[in-house]
Formats: sequence, C-alpha cells, structure tokens
Amino acid sequence: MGTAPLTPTTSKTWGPLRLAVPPLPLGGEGRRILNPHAGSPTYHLPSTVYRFPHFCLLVFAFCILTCSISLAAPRPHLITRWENYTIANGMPDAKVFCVTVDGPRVWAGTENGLVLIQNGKVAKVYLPADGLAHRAVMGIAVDRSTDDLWIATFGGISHFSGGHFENFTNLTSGLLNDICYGIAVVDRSVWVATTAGVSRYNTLSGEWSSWSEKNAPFHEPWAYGIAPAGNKMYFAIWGGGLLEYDVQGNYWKPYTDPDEEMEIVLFKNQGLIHIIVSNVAWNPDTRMIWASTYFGLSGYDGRNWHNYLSKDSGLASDFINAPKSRRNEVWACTDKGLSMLDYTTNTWVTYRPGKQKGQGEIEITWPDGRKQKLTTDTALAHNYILNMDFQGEDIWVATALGLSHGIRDSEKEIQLYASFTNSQRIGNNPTGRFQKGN
Amino acid sequence: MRSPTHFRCLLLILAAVAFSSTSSVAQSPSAAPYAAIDRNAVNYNGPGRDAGHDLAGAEIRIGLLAPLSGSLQAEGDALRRAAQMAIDEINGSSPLGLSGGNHLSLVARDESGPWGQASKQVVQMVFDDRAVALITSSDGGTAHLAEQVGNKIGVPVLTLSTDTTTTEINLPWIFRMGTTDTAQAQAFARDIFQIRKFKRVVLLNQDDRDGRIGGDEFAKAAREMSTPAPIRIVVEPGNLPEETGMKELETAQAIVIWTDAAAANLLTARLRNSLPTVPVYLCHKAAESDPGNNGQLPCPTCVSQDGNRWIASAAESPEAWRAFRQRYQKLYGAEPGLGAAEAYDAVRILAATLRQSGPNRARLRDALAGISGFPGASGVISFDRAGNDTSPVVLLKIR
Repeated sequence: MGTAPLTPTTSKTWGPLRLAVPPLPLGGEGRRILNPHAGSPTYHLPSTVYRFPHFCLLVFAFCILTCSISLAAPRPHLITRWENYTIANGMPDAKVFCVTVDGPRVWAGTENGLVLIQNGKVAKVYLPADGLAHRAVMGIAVDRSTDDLWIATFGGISHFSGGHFENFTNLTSGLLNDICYGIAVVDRSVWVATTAGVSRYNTLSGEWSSWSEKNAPFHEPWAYGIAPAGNKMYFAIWGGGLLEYDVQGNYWKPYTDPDEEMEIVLFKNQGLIHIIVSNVAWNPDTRMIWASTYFGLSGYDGRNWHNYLSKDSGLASDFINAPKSRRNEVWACTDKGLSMLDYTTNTWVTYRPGKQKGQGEIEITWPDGRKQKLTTDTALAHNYILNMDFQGEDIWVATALGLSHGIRDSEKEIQLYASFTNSQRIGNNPTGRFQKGN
Repeated sequence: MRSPTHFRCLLLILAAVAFSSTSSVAQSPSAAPYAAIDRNAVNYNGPGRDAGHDLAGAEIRIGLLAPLSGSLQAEGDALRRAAQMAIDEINGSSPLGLSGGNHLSLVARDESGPWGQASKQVVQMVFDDRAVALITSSDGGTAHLAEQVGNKIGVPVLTLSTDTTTTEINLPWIFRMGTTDTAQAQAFARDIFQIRKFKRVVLLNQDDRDGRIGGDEFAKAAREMSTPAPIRIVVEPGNLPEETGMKELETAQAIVIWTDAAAANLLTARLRNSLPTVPVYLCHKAAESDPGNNGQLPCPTCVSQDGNRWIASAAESPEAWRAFRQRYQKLYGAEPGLGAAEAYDAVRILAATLRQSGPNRARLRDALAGISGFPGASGVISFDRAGNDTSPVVLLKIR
C-alpha cells in the first residue's frame, strides 16, 4: 500500500483495491459424475469439505472489499502532537472555559483569570486584582478593527484596551445580567449572551440594546452561546433552542426541537436535535450553522438539518459543550474527547488521552462505520473538552484540566498512517462499528 | 396475448405491496423514537475527584437559594429554618467525622427579584462562599439558573423544584427532590378522570413559568385520557380579584391549583367557604407553605380541617415525618410545610453523602447519584443517575 496523500481533496487516488480473485467454480470437472439414470452428465453440489476453501475465499474477499471501502475515503489530516499548558507551567487554574486565537497571541479564559499565551509560554495572567470583572472567564472576543479584547465573565463584561480594563455590569450599564456566557464583536457592536437574554453595546454611540422573552421569541431567556454569521447573529439558548437574528431586517427566527420532548430524538434529521443548546458556531466557508447540545450535534445548511449522535457516527459522546467549524470540518468539544467530522467524506476523527499515561489516542471512524485507532506520544490535557479555536493548521483546545495546543506535523502524520497500515497487515485494525441509524 | 394468469399475478403483487405499505404506515405512529437519553448512563466524565480539588477549611458550606423577601418570604424562611435545624442536628449529634474535623454550615441567599438576581447569588455561593453544593427552592427558573452555573463550574445542585425538564438534559450535576410536574399531573388526572369519572374540572394556574409548565402538564395528562379539556383560569396572585373564576368554579366537580403557596393560600381560603365539598388538588409548590406563618395550609399529616384536599407526593415515611415535625414545632413554634421537610432532607442527604465523598464537589456528585431508599421526612428518596427521584408517586390526602 502506498503512502497516504495528505490533502483530502486530492486523495482520489485512494480507490478501492483491485484484486485478481479468480471466479469461483460452481462444482468442477473433477467432481462431475455421470448420472446413471440419464443420458447426459449432471452436476452435483459439492460437499461441505469441498466448499470450505471457497467460503474462506469469499470471506477474505469480503474483508478486503470492506477495507478498501474504508481506505477509499480520503484520509483526514491529523493533529499529531500536543503541547499542554497547565498549572505546572503557569496557568492560574486547571479549568479552561474558552480559548481565542488572535494571530500569534492566544487568549484563554479560566476559572481563575484571563491568560495570554505568547511564544509558547504563559506570558501574562490577568486577575480581578488587575481590573478584570470576575475571575471566571467564559468568553473572549477580539475586535479586529482595534485589537481590543472583550471578555465575558461571571461578573459582567470587561473591555481590555491599552493594558487597562473597563468593566460593564448590569448596575453600571445596559448589560442585562452579570452572568455572561458568550461574547462576540461585529463591526462596532459587542454582543453578549447573558443568563437573562442578549445584550448589544454600540462602541461608537455607547448605546445598549437588549432582547429577552419580553421583546423577542425567546422560549427561555438563558443565552449560553453566540455566533456571528454575516448579517445575522445566532444564539444558543438553554431551553430555547437556536435563535437567529437578522441584524439589518431586525427580525428573529427561532429553531426549536420539533418533537418537543426532552429525553428523545424522534427522527434522525428531525430538525434541531435538542432544545437545550450549549453553544453555536458558524462556518463561513460552507455557510452552515452548527449547534451543540447535551444530546447530540445539529447542523443546518439553510435547507436541511444534519444531526449526529454517538450511536450513528464517530462522535465521541452526545454530551457536547461547544462546536467549531471551518472548511468542510465541524469539531465537537465533548466530555469524552474532541471529535472532528469531515462532512464531505463522512469521516470522523476523535482525539482523547490514551490509556497509557502521556500517550494520546486518535480514533478514526471511516464512512462505513469501521473504527481504527492510532497512538501518539503526546496527549490532550484531558478528555473533558470545553471549547477550541483554530490557528492556521493548528488548534487550541480548552479542557477541564488545562489548555492544549494541537500541532499538525506532516511527517508525523505520514508515519502515523504508515503505522496504521502496518497494523492492518497484521490484522490488528478493526475496533468496532457504530450502530447504523435509520 | 398475455395470459389471465399473468394479470392475476400482477394484481396479487400490487395488493401485497399495498398491504405492506399500509401496514408500515399504521405502525409508524407507535414506532420507537430514533434515540432516547439513557438515564442510567448519565455520568460526569471530567476531572476533580482527586484530593487537590477538595475544598479547604474545616467548615463545609451548603448553599441555600430561597425567597427570603417578598411575597414568598414565609416559604423561604421555612426552608432556611429547616435546613439550619438539620445542620445543627448533624453538627451536634453526628458530626461528619472527616479527617479535617469538618462541620457543616449554611449559607442562605435571597433569590427574590428578577431572574438575574438569583444567578448572581448562585455565582457568589459558588465562588465567594465556596459552597460544596447548592439547594434551590421550588422555583423552576432558579433551579435552571443554578444548574447552568453548576454545569460549567461543576457543583452539585439539589432542587426542590418539580420542573420535569431540570433532569431531562443529560446533565450529571442536578438532583431533584420529590416528584415531577408530569408525575403529579398524571396522578391528579387518573384520580379525577378515571377513578372519580369527573368531567367538569377547573385548572387554576399562576401566570408565571412554573404555573404555565405545570398547567400544561395537567392539560396534557387530561388530553391523553381523552377527557374534556379542563377549564383553564390564569391567576395573577398580585392582582387576585374577588370574582376570579368564581363563575366557572360554581359548576366544577374538581379543582386543580398550580400556583405558588401564597396564591394557593388565598384561593383555598375562598374555596373552603364557597365550595367546601369540591375536591381540590394542589401541586407540590402550592402545598409547601408554612402554616405556622400564614395559618392556611396544613401539611400532609396535620390535623384535619376540611379533608378535601390532595397532593401527589412520594410515599410517606411517617416516623421520619413525625420526628421532624415534632422537633421543628418545638424549635420554631410553627407547623412545617412540605418544602421545609424537603429542605431538611436535602441537608441530611448531603451530610450522608459527604461522609463518603469528603469536601469534594465531583466526588459528592458521584455519591449523590447512589442515594437509594433514603427515609426522609418528606418521603422515601432514591435518585437515578440523571438526578430524578425515582420514588413512586402516590396521592395523599391533606388531613
């Protein structure tokens, strides 16, 4: 088997294996016997003993065919190395709620402060004593026009500019509530997802606007996540599904769970999979919106819903804290690892710490449902994933036990796939299949 | 020319196809859902169970979020008194006995006011007070706010709310004391429509989140029994006119009240005078009042006043109830309500599980998920891994 092409879009060379399997003879000359009761020869069915080699050959051919189907799918890129930032190397708290990449700078929100990571190390930690609104940092957004930072905390929001914090709370501003779960900056507007609804701050005029169940179709007011999408905004609402707001048109559109039952999913692609939406992400490349819930992942392309559960896909767990999406990928931050779906090929990759201390595990779920595992020398800081962001081909992952920098190394990727091919040759490849959905 | 046999075969095939498609259509409504949350598979897969995550200090704090001002202050005060009583008993007679010599203390904060108020108090209890766990009142909105913060930070929440949805999210951090709105509604509907065969039923529900959700559950339960829809009257407690629903109530065979205790007290006082023989079904929240303060609502085993009111609850645990009631009366000179009994039980359950887990939120969560057959003053309590109280629901007459 040759080396794997590294670019999924050009990996068509990975076609099914062509095997020169001779046609199976039905009976054979050696077993042709004459029927004493007829004038012409007849063919008797071969005995079990005779059929056994044919059966083995059929099974072998089936296995090869299955393998070839798996390998026919383009091989996804892999994160091959992890560098972790924990309390041991300067993080102020183990739990990292969010991470935002700003060019070479990486900002992390922890349970005890805001962290700046630069040049591969913790460069600075900002605490309430420095002016931060609260120690628990839930969301970070960069204003691309000014490079200022806007920070959602459990004590209001902070505007970090020129080395100084300016705080906004519900007592000192138009912010709906101090418990803020998400934040986004679009042009001159700062959008905040609070536990009492959505607030917007105009940085030019200083004007605040707010939406909740009182003036918009919020089934519940508890906003848990936020995603800008061109001229629209999407909000993840705890108990209220996904809310779409057309900024120019000034109208709202709710997406809710059509089965209206909390503990079931009636049909696979029924619509939004669950009414409790934990977070939301917009993919500007495919123009799809992705909603994470604690009972599966939902994607909407403007026409159809695409839902995924661990039982019918390579998703590590149905408990998802946040999605993230770009190109043809959607990433799911679950409580059992970080899963990535390439939805053009329906191939999944899940990253989690391995069973051996320090080692990482990569689980690939091929389009036919076959699962195969690879081992890396380094691992995510923890399997409980809260959020992530992209930095070129690398990723940054917020976990419950530290911040992880996932690095893609082409050479290492080739080696990993080679080890995978070798393990196939010795028959150590399949680890199971997911249950096919209806 | 085609033979008639071919034609007959074709007809037969078409008939078979039609029959099979009809069968599948007929079966589709009863088909199983594509997926369902497995309550017993709910688990916390994060870190935090190691000693490094133990809360420091000899004092282990339990947070209580209750209405300590406004119209529901009486209920909130009763919760606080009952919780404090449990803590004093544990510290006095059966301390936790943990290696740090830990003793329990109560941090009570006021949930009253707009919803934002409660969430701020939750955050303060988690970060400033360093509470090992939170107990929330019967308010469903408050339970969700605590659950949202508890889920992010990793703090166990015991709620007295009957809001069914609090434990239907696949979250490992919340545990619901007592029965759900759904179970109560079904118990009421069974008694009203199937056993008593009543047709004319009035539903009085409060114009707030819990009232709407509970009222919807009862209407749904009635619909599932193919009975006439109950006459629904929305009640605004702050603006309850004398004539509220009285015209419709005059012909009612049964009345269901889905309000908070303050509104229920006003309503039942009126009904006692005007419709003394009509059975009244009170939701859990309506029956949690402290009659020592308002002199209206008795508890399940209190002295009979009119004997025509019902609640749906877990099976009684008479000895535990009597002991609790006796001590509460002695200490505070008032009759405890259902809510007080649940708050008392919540603290005792936390103490029992803290003995196993020590002062660690993640280990405490694991221990809570193992609670089974706990003989509480409010009834026998068992949790499944999703945080539901699995005790069977029975209809109790308020004596």
